[in-house]
Amino acid sequence: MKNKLSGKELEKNSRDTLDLIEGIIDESIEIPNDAVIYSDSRSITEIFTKKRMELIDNISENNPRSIQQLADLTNRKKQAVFRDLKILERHDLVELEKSGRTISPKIRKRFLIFGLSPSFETIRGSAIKKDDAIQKPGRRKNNQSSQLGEVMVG
Amino acid sequence: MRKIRFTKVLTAVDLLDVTLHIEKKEVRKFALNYRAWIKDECIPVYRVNNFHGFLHEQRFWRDKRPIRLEEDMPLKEVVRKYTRYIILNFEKFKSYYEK
Repeated sequence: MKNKLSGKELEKNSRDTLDLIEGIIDESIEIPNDAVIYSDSRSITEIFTKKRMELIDNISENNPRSIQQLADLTNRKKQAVFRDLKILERHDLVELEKSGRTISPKIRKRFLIFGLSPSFETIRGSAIKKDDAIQKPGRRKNNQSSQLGEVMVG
Repeated sequence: MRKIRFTKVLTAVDLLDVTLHIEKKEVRKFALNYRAWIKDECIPVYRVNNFHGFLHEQRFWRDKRPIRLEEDMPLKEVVRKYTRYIILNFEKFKSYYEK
């Protein structure tokens, strides 16, 4: 994984975060509490690979009791699944519960928020309501289109 | 009082936890906690907050000791200043920690 960001990327990251915080303070943006927010495409594509999304879906739908069971469900090797789960665990997306020698994966977060606009400034005014953000992700206010994409896990 | 906590993902291994206590569109309390995954472990690297009654920062690559900060501006501006400070410097902070 490439982690070093350029000065331009750092500036953008800073601008996005400041706009988000300002929006939260002045109540033009509402987010669910304890959300994880992504705004740069590099970290999104680094973290949310197709195979990791399959793991999230499978944990959510099938509640596997062990990593081996999850590996069987996804037709993958246990080691590869474990490696991916550790990456998801880093982001508090899954929790690896140990019970004796068995580790069972659980979903930790209900909401992920992907900021898709160049800057959150452009979405201020299009508030996301806490309870219906997922059902109505494109909810509009003041005729502004929402550019805040959301994905629910768990 | 609205209390909101979220995590802003800076990179795949760098996370900024933001806690805001807001009343009448004014920040009453805040915490910014930058943590990083280093060698498969999640490490707190830098923190700034005004909990415990005073504004302070912690530079974990040195020690956990809180360092008092003096800022003559509204808390909202303090949050802005230190958010920007962390995001523009977190890679440097982490490199100090790794040394």
